[in-house]
Amino acid sequence: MRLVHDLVTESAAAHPDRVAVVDGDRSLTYAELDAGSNRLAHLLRECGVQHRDLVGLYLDKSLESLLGIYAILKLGSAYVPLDPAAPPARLATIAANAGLRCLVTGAEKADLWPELLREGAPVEVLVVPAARDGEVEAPEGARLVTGAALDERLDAPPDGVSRSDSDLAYILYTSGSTGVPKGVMLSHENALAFVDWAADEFGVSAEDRLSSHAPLHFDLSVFDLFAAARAGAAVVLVPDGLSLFPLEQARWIRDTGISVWYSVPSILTLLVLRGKLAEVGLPALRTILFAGEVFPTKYLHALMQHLPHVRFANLFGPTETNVNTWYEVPRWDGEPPASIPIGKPVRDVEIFAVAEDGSILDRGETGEMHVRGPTVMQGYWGDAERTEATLFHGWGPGSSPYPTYKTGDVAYVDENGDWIFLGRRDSQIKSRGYRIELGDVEAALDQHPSVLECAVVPIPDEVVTNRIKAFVVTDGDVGQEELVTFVCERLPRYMAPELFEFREALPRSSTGKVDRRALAAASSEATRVD
Amino acid sequence: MSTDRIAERIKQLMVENLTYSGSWNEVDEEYPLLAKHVIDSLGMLKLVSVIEEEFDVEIDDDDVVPANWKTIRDIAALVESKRAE
Repeated sequence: MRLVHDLVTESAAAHPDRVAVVDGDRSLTYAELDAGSNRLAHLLRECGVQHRDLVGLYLDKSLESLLGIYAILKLGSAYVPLDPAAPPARLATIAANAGLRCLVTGAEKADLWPELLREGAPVEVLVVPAARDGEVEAPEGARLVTGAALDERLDAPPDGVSRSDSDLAYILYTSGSTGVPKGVMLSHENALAFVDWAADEFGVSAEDRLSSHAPLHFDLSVFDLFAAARAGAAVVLVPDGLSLFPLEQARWIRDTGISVWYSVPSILTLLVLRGKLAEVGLPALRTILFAGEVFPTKYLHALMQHLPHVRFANLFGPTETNVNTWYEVPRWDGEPPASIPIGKPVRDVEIFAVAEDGSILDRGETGEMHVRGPTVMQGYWGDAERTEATLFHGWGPGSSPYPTYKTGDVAYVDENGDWIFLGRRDSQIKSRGYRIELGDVEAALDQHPSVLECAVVPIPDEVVTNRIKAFVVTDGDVGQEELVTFVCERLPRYMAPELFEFREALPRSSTGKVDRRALAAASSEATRVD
Repeated sequence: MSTDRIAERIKQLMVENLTYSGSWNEVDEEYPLLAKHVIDSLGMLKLVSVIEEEFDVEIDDDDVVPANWKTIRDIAALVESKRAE
């Protein structure tokens, strides 16, 4: 049995001096990452962290966040990454749901700690590995422990930690339909089933340099960090804000020698449109993986033409299943097809199309994807009801030791055996690769005292998949700017509506429900950015 | 059009086209747009195209680098230099 942090320990033993992680001009070798995370684990244990505790990570992606991840795992506890860009009120809801008493955090977040605590986060101790005593001040109600408390002598792993690969490795919070985020629980086994497959399939070796673009609370980060650690390869953290400047980003990929890139497609679209790829050239790049949203094939095709030596693959799956299907993008002669499949199941994963009545459909018939396999989550943290409604044990044909997740994704298998994704059964949408429950956005808007009624609909967009539009009925005392600010105090910015329409009333269907379909149809002014 | 007038118009375009979580009132000509995450990656693409249209200039890919977009004043200077071309 192997656990996620064993990947680092094994790589540190095999090649201690290889670079494990690069963050700008700072880096850590595998020996440093292994010993450093051991030291931090000892410190966290002193702070009261025990086996099976949940520990929050609240800092910008950095060497310290990786040290934090492995330190937490080495205690048999699980990490809960908090979106560094999300408003403290949202994070406090998550921290309260997960019962986070300890946070590994950074001085750059110090001015937000007091608000996080005021908003109800049950945090008792803040551990700031990069700071020294006196550099930051403890907020009222919590204890502060800095890197000064790290004992340089304690670089061996903490002892007496029991090992089980069914223990949780991390919990990722995603948008929930009622305004409360859902904590998706993934075990070591879940994570490694995906990482082992991906590292094998894409041949990740010690010579590779993997980019780490996705934030830690986004499941794309799991591949970057752990596939690199498994191979003893370097993971290079993409600097914050680099994606604003596609040409700089192209040069950065070239200059850092990235060989495997993984991100949402919209970032790659920017590279095609403004990255001057023909001029920059990316000789070290060999594999591009993308996930999280639809990649418009005209941009994908253009990117592939710029990069004839690169292998491209589309990975698909909700956070609840890591990745469940993948598709190797072929090189097209002439025009690309209108869309691409999500492809075939990954190793050891079975997928069934299921009808409304629960029966399993034949190949070619359209139904709801049910995913069974070792990558499927353990459930939603603290939400037995939602877990029972979507996660089934002993379901399906034959016998399987693994649970089945009812995804809400509607799809069918085509004549080549590839899954074709058609859409969602519910009002969950994707925008810029982020998964958003429209009910979550409506719940935030509804809290504004001047909002009498609202409905939020997706407006299809070829670069970001969807833009969010809000139809709002107000008492007249509020405008768009104030509502955006209001929503952003409660939700991550990517969930804030970009478009607003103020109305006297919302249209109703015959059943009296707000007619969202009519609203979406009324705002079909497709937005284009190129 | 004066630099001040250009800067004013750029701010208007930003308010109309970007989703920003902070207060626009604080965003003056010297406000650090990048450090404060006023612009995100797709907002940047949009902003470039609306500025091109509004001022009838062509912004090259080489111009989309941090030095030109740190503040509204930087962007106004870029627009002025493009108009002079």
